[in-house]
Amino acid sequence: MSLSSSVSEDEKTVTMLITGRFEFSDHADFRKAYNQIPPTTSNYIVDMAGVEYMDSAALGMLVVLHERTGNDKTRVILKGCNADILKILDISKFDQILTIER
Amino acid sequence: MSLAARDLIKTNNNHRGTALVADDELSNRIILKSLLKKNGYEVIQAVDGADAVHKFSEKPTDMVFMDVMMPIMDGYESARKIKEISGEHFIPIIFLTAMTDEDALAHCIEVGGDDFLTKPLNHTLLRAKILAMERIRDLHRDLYQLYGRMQRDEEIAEQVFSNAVLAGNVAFEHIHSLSRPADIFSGDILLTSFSPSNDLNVLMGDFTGHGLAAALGALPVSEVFRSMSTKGFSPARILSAINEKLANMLPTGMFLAAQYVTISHDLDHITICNCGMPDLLILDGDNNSIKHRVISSALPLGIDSNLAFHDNVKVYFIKPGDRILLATDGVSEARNINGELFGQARIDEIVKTQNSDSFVLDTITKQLEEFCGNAPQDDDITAAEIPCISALFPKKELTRSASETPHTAEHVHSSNIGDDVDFNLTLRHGRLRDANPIPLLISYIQETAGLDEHRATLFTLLTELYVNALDHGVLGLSSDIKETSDGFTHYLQEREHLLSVLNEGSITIGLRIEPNKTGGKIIICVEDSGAGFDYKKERACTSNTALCGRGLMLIEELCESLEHNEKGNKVVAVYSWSN
Repeated sequence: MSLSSSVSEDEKTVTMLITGRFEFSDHADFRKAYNQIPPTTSNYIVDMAGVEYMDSAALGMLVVLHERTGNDKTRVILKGCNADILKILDISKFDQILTIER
Repeated sequence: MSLAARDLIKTNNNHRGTALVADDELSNRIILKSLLKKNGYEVIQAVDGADAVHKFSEKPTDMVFMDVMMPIMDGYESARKIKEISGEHFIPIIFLTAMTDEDALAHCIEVGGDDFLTKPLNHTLLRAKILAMERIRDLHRDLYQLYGRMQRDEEIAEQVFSNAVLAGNVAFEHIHSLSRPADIFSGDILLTSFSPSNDLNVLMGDFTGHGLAAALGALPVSEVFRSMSTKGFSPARILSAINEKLANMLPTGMFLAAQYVTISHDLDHITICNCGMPDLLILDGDNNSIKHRVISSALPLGIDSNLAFHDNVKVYFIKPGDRILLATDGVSEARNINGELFGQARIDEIVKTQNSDSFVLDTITKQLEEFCGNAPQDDDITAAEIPCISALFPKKELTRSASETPHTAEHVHSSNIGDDVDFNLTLRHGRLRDANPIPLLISYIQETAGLDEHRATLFTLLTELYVNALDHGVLGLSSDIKETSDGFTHYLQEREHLLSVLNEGSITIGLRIEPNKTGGKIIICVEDSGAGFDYKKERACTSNTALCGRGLMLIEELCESLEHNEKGNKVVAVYSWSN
């Protein structure tokens, strides 16, 4: 996995760009990335277009974002998921806690 | 303590270890010996490679300095042998060489050497190399100790895991299962337990990640699952409790995907909830076709503590011989050496082509093995196939009421002996919609009187009495509806509808427990707010094929006496036991 993130000018929205296999072993990198996110952030956009595969641990990392927004499902937006990823999100019913753009 | 600090302390220490010096030239040995002594090392000398191996095997040293060209056995061969002897311990070997040929130097490392020094020896360089080697040796030792501790911890944890989580499982002799953890520990769990009425509850779960951390959550899950299951709670209630416990306990980002199945003891229906797991399949026992595919309908457990599961629990009618196939995503997402997934489609295909007299899971296991070959395993793989057969359940041993002496309702109310305990519970209005008071009553009886061996019977008795009061009393349903061909389904639909709009009515359940010297009795009184029902007609309906009256017949069969009031909205049942 590779992960880069950018903060909007008003420091309210963070866009995270993830590529490759998003899985268990990426936990440390992910934690490091979100610890650097300014506390003023209230919205997250996760660009998943480059993600080929994700496992349940990766889902767990998304739950961390969900919790950071005070469990507000409109504040974490996943976009660009491929069909396999969408299937995993469907099975896990993550549309109940995140906004998934199709 | 930092490594640098440790180095410093050691630098000041006069005795830092023993070194073996192997060189056929006496002068070289003497020079090195004096340099090593200055650095705090005792020195053992060897005159050739074979001598070095011999001396090392007699008394292993902390470090070895090895010349390359020596008679009898050269330094390469000698280094190889010494590394073999030292096994898991890290003994640094430093080659001493006059050679500047790069290939020869590289060969020193290939045979197991850790570094080299060129002759003539430079004191500063030698000292630096000794420090570097000591550092590597310390790291190696720490790592080795940590690894040992981790293995011990895992062994202990595995024992706790098998004793607490797996040992309580029931009916496993009839369930085919596949379990292939990615680590020593599996983050997948498969739990089974009987309810008081002998329904079989099964939970297959998959924790986020794998290994010890994932397996940790299995302890509270199995505890909640077993204790609530044996008390007779419904699948939705058990799932809610596990969900709440995990949400409070697990760190954010860790959760449990689960398939929950309850098979009724009469093999009439199964109750299923799929929370974030791949498809669960119900297979027709006659031809192995897929009768029902139960897709995930709820979030995994442990994410949202307020989740209710009532709407996600589904009931399917089955017949004896049908099978249930459960699997974690480790099966469908197993990869072969080219990175391709095994896939749900392959599982479906195996089901389609399977003979109905053999287990689907056996074929899946075989094909999965062939498919994956030596490819590394990413995730825990767990699956189970449960045949819906009567052998799954314990033999029916419903206890019966001990004495046959008739008791009247009046007698019940007049009795007033010292050790008696009365317990009354009234459920009103909306409470009737979703409450199930039976587990509470059973645990109350058990705390007061014990009666473990009577639990199943009392559970049946109380359930039948309560359901009668609710269905025929408060809801006013007539069991005539059940008579027609799809009457039972119709009955259940009607019941569900009436419950959803229910906002009046009440049921009062009274328990009186009267222990005596030889045993005792429990008097159960159930009264509802309904208009009463024609119990005489119900009781007269004794034909075995009729669906109606089954409940009442069962109650009469189980208890010592059963009395209705004239109106038909109050019933008193007496159950006795002897010690």
